[in-house]
Parts: sequence; structure tokens; C-alpha cells
Amino acid sequence: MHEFSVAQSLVEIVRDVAAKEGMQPVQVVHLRVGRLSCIDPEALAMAYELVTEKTLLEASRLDIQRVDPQAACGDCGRTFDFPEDFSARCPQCGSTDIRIVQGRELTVDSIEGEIGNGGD
Amino acid sequence: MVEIKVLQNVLKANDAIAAENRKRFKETGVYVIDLMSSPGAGKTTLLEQTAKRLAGEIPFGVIEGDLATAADAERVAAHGVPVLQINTGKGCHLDANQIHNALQHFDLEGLQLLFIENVGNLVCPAEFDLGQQTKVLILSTPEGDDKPEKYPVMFQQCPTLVINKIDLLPYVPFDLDKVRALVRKIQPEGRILELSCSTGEGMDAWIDFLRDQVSRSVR
Repeated sequence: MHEFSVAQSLVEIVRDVAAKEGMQPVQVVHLRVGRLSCIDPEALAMAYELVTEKTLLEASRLDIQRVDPQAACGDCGRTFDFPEDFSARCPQCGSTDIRIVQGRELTVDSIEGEIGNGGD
Repeated sequence: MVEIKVLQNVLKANDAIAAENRKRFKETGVYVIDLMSSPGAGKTTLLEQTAKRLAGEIPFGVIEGDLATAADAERVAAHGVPVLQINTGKGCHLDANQIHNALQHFDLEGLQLLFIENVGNLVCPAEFDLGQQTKVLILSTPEGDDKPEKYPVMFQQCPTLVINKIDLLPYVPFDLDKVRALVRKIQPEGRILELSCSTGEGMDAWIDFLRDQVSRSVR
């Protein structure tokens, strides 16, 4: 259970980008969470609400998109859906030289909001 | 409403510090193992036994991560091993910054091997890079043989699995063949070491594994 500290890191990133771009208010934060990451989206959404309370991000909504895991074969190069049973074998050539290329991410994809509101 | 692309990893701060740690380990030629397991699987006991066998041969240090107490650090320190305890409070894992700070208390130049004993937990420590060269997972037989299926991410992350407490196999429902097969599926090229810290069975293979890893990373 480390969603609270993750929410704090997330808020720092959003705050920095919003300040740099002059976005105020931020309305939606789009986050990509891989299914292999040890993050519980519901717990993260709750932590985000708590962390942003009474801050400039208070009105923002966290939109979490789950990302299915994908693996790539080091021998034949094929990319395939990483199976739910974690079987690390290429479905095409049988190689065990498998690398997970998607599904572990925890990435701020984009933020949406107003720019130039109340500015000059 | 305007949308701005960000594309930033939320754990980038941790990963940046982990990369710094890794660089430092490489420069000083210290081989670093992130040791993980559930609570009570025998991480500290394995380190104690390792200290007895590597004494005078391979100088190593230990960073201990626990929610509270310095009990584990005291146990390891009793064997003459330099050790630093990190108490994470309610934290379920160690992070790269805690390791970075802990390194100030170690004379890395004088070490060849460093164990980071992570917080006992089969979930969260898999998420946080510490800068280690490898991850070793311990599974003890009383925990049951269903753990690879229940916590596949952790097993997928650790190329070496130690199955501890094999002296208890006659007394606990733990199908060794089943676990071997499950782990082989997730880690076809992985290493499985079966041992007992109580009887010493299998300890030679563990020590040989450490010698081999250390000799590959000498400066």
C-alpha cells in the first residue's frame, strides 16, 4: 500500500507542468497504469483526492487508463500479449528470451484544463 | 479546454536516484542484491548463515529495511557485518532515496557485496528500483506452494529464487515439484536454490552463487 506516496509524486509532476504551461485550473489528469504495476487504481484515486484537497488541483479529476501487458521476443522479434499466467515463452518460436515491453508503466499521459484564465 | 501531453513516469524521481546508486555501485565494484520475501521467510537468518560462511573471504554489508525496530540489524551486526537499519514507519517497501542516504554510512570501497534486505512483502518492493544488480526472492516452505501463482509479478522480477526451510518439507503441505514447475514457467532461465538455514543443506550452492556473482563484478 504505497498509493499515497505515488499520489504525491503524481501531484508534483502535474503541478510543475501546469505551472510551466500556465494551465489553471487543471481539470483532468490522464494517467496510464500498467496491469503489472503494483498499484491499486481505486486506492490511488482516493489518495489523489486527499492529496489535492485545498490545493490548486482540488478541482481536477484523475482519469486512469489500465494498460494490458505486452512482451517482445528477443529471438524472433514478435510482440505479443503477455499471458495472465505469466508464461514467459514466445508463442511463435518458443524462445524464453522474453522482455516485457508494456504493462508496468505508471505514466502521466496528459493533462487537460484552461490556459490563460485570469492571466494577462 | 486544452490538453497538454506530459508523458512522464510518476516514479521518475525514484528511478533517477536508483540510476545514481547503480552508477556508484559499479564504480566501487560492489555487487548489490535486493533480497525480498514475505515476513518470516528467513531473510535475516540466511544473512546470518552467510556471514558465518563468508567471514574473512568476501567483505559484505547489509542494509536492513523494516517497519520498526533494529532487531534484524543487531542480529546481523553480531556476526561482525557492517549493517545499517532503515525503519520505514508505515512504508511497505524501501525506495532508492533511502538507499542513497544509507550509503553515506558505508565504506563501499571496503566491500565487495551489499545485501539490501527489503521490507517483508511480496507486492510493493517489486515496484521500486533501488539500483541493485540483481534481485533474490526467498520463499519458505511453510508459506505454501501457491505463492508463485498468487504473486507472479514478484517471481517474474527475481531471476533467483531461494526455497528456504526445506528441512520442514515432511511436515508442511508444500509440493516442491509444483513450485519448481510454476517458477520455471515464469522464469524459464531462472535459478532455483533449495536450502535450509537450520541444517545447512543446500547452503554450499548459495555461497557458490554469491562467490560467482561477486567475482564477475570485481573492480
